[in-house]
Amino acid sequence: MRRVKFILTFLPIIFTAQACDLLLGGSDSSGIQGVFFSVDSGDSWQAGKPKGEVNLSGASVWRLFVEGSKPQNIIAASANQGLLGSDDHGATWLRLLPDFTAYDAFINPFNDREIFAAGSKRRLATIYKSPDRGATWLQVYNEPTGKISVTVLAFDRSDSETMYAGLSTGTILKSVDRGDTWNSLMADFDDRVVDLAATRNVVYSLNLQSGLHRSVDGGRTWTDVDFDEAANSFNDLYVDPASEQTLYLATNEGLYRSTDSGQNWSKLPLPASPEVTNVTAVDVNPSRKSQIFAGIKSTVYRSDDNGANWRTIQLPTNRTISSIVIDPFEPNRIYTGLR
Amino acid sequence: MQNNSLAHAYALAGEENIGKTTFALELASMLGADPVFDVFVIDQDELITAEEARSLQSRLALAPAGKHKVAVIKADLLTEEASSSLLKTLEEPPAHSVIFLTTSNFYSLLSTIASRVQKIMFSRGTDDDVKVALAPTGTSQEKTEKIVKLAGGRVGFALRLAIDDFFLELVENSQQNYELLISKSLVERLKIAEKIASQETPEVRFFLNYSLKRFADSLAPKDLGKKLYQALSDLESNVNIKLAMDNLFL
Repeated sequence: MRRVKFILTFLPIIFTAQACDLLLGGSDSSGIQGVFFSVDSGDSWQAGKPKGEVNLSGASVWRLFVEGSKPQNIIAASANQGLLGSDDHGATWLRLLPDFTAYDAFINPFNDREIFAAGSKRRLATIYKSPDRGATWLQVYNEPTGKISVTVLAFDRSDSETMYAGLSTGTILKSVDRGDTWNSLMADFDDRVVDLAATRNVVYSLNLQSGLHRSVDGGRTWTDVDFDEAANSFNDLYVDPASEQTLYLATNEGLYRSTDSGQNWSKLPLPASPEVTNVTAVDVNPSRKSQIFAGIKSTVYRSDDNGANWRTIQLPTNRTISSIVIDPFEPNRIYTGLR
Repeated sequence: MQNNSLAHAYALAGEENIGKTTFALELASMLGADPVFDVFVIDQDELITAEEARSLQSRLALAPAGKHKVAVIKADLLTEEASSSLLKTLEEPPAHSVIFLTTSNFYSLLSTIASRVQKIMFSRGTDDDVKVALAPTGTSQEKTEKIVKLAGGRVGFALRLAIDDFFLELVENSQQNYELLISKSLVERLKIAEKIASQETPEVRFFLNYSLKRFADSLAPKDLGKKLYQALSDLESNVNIKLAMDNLFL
């Protein structure tokens, strides 16, 4: 394992005052990427600010993760700015891991000293693990074939030892030793893995074109989840932590929900124009399950009644919402990542 | 759990690094608490403020994303005000919530808190228990043997040694230095005093605390405990570290 050491020690448990630069109504904010945050359930949004040399407004963010026990700490995987972190509820951001194309990352909820980041380093698929909250990084996976990325990283929500990763080639990796070593699973789909979710032995893999696949034996065998709708591009998956039978699927033809593990799907009535239907992100408020968030282009959609009615909030940018996450303990605090 | 008769609050009592928090987190997982959305751990080194304890009530009151909300709190760090706030939560525990207080001394809890929690005592395991706990981590046999010796039956401590190489290095160094501290060769002791004094203050503090624990478990000379306490006190009073270490190792 190669070890990279940085001077930074990430995420002291310090809360600093939020910057209060309200961007809604700003005159020229088109093209801003990075991270936006809201403290009022998405009614208004502010852009996070950079700390140090980070070009946050130019950061192509693919995934956000809020630390459960200390939700002031958030990390953002950025394809062009490396791994970014905030310890003040998204107000300011610094770089934790430079020179890395990051597509996914999380702080290990079973051991908060550990941070994982997935992506590519010099066009080689790479997974990094930090055992000390970002002070040092170990390269725990490196794919020797070029032009491949690790696109998704997920921990088993009921097992502190088990983690999964998905590659741009469709390959799925599994680790049973807390991310120290990784092995390919037999499941070898042909298209990019865009999301993974795992609880006990049930694992879902969402792939860009082939859609949703499920394993009930920890990834040994897989079956395709039926999806007869018109969609042919799949972007994001939400699995209810209380019941893995309830699924939300963000597709190029809208947002779908199933309450029976994907046997039946219903399309949620997002008030989007017929030509703009590509839902790129979905999340459900963990403490208000009837509150659903979705992203189409740079518009946030929110339903407070389980998907029956929706309101829209346009972010001050033309970029695409890639990730929506909600603070576990302050349900009005919402974050979006843009790419 | 099988009888669906869980209490709302437990005190997990036993010495540090014995596996209390690990047990609480395992139980949280078995209860169906989501590790990100539902589990709230306060185990930092700083004292727990009244504000943090107050926020616990509102956090636990939220509907769980999974099936339960779980708080794991290092009770030894509660200030008096924080204990009072926590008491209010224990008096009216939110539905779906389970609170685990971890403590190295059950009798240090406020009596009003102690009377509202179910006590579970933790004691050291055997070397075999430690080996069983290490097995799923894939630790090599050589490393397992090393960890078993250092852990002395403390499962939580062993697990941390298995997954955190920096911590393992720190403990190994401290163990070597402690063995030199109680050896009889003055020359060697003074040499090591100089080496330790050149380290950063947190590492020196770790060594002193580690040595105090080893002293408590062993038959080392009685005045060693006094010297270790003095060295720790010197460290906190910003006395020159070299001087403090010389006094300790003389």
